[in-house]
Amino acid sequence: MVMGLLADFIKLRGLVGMGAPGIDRCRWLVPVWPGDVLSGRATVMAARLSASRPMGLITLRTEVFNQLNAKVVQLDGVGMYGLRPAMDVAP
Amino acid sequence: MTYLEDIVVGTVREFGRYAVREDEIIAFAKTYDNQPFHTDAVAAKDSIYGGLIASGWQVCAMFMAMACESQKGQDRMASLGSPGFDDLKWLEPVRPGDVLSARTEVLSATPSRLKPDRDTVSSRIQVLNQTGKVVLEMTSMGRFLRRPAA
Repeated sequence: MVMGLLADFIKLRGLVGMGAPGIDRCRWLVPVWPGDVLSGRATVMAARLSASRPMGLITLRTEVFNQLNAKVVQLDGVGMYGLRPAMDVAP
Repeated sequence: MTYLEDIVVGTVREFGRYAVREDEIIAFAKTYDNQPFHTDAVAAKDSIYGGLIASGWQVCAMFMAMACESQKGQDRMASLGSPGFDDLKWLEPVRPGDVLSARTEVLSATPSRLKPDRDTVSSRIQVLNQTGKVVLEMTSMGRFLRRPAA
């Protein structure tokens, strides 16, 4: 469900997601019950260019909230993203 | 019932067999991780992975499937669930046709500061493929009750 939300986020922002090497820290904070309605928030903590490959590395804090606005999960991890081609002019 | 006292630091367990199917990779990703390298074998060829790979979250779920299957018929654990995990690494892509297995090692048991009836047990979890390569690794925590005083 987290990735369902995050994949939507990646598309909405027009990001070229290329996968992820891992998650540094994940905490399940409150149970998710049938009938809950979840939403997500992704915060860019850091962004840098990969030293070894032509891609960007974004450190994201991803949080999922239930309908009471209680945080149910928090993930801190790094994702790999495509770079804008040199000739591609931003709209 | 199996309690905290039955968990021995240093114990290594190897278990499970999970055959990874292309249709299962695509079905999972269409719902939970809708990115082309998980859902579209043709588009995946042009990705950095060179072909369709399973969502890392699905590999976590495949580990859970093997872990639950291995607990079948065993004494119920006095488990209070997991507060989370650290240092999850997706080390190798998981592809259709791979056959996975699991390895766990109990790293430590730390008494709860607030509740004396339980400890947090830290375990290294690894998922391996048929060539013995570790495809996923994480340090997972679980809370377990101490055996009640007789």
